[in-house]
Amino acid sequence: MPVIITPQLNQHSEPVQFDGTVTVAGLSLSSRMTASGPAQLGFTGATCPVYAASSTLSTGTTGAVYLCAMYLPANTTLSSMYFNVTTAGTNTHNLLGIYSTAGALLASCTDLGVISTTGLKQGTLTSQLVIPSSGMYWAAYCSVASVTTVVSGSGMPATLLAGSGVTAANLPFAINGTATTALATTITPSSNTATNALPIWIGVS
Amino acid sequence: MPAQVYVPPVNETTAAFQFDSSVVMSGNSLSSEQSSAQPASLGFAAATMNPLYTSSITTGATGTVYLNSMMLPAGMVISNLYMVSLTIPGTVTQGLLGIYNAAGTLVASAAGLGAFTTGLKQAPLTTPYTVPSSGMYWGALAVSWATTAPTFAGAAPGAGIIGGVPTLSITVTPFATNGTQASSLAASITLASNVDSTLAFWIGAN
Repeated sequence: MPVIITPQLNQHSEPVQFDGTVTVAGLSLSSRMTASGPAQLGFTGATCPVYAASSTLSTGTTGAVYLCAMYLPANTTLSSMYFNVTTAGTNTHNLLGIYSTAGALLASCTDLGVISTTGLKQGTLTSQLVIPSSGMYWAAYCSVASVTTVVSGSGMPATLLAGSGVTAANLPFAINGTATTALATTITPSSNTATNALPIWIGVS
Repeated sequence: MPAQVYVPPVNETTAAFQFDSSVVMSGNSLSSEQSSAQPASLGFAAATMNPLYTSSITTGATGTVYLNSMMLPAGMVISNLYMVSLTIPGTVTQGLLGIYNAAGTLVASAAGLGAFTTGLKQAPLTTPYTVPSSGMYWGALAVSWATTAPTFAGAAPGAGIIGGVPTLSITVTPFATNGTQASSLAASITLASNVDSTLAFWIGAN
């Protein structure tokens, strides 16, 4: 059972800063932090390290809602979501949103509509989202397309997507149903499936 | 909101800690670095690399023992090792998984998988292993095959950088080969015989 450290004072949510060398499990965590991460590119968080998002992922079945895990600290304020299109295909709707692990759509972006160009796409949340508690959330992406939209993501093998002993409701990468013009206000996480799931790169800020 | 400088209560501890606020380290956001899925998200207590960094790599000579570093915390109990077999163009006759410590001693091993198919391969350790002290261990993998080399999940770093800085001892190189084994992993290996490997295999543990 982890010891929960509340920095300095109880009930404070100030960021914590370490300026010394930090070693975890015998390995220098400080050395890991010397490499640039999502923050250096302006992202508060991302579903996949930027430097691991070197694969092109075809979003397959039109309207499939792809869920990609993102771990965020409490009180983080989010205004935008991002993904990167490498082949635009022929699409009519591109939907982005954030689901809680209970399956509630906490925030969603205005439909990006038709995307006919490649590159980084930004969706604006209709209302800013303040993360209520630290933990896992799903960034959701859905493309309604007659010709598949291809996006950036990790090239990790599909065999690993289901992990070991991970329940459907806890899958970091999953598909949950389909959408047409808007993401469902709720999903049933136990209906998640890792089959055909994709580790899509989705950033937030 | 200004960050508070956190002073850990003790310099050395094996207690597990949990941080729920934003964490900045060396001026870089650890929270954003931690925002993507980690091995634990997929049910693995440890792994030789984040699954998100993996792709398909092709094994070298049959039976080659590949050492892949894992940094393990003291007290962790490991009961299973895993590897991901992606394609088997020819045949495979044996798959060996084990853990060597930094002295080159085989501290845990699983029964040989024999001829196996593709997919996530689970290898239960003959005896669960409790990590005695935090630090580097090697997840060892050796696959015997015929005709055409099989492929596995992993990474293929550039040959020029896999050995690290020129002064790095070969005995602590994170990814190396160390001889060949066909039926079982050696009870000990001579770390001075390590050879830097450009094949880094994903091995999971839980």
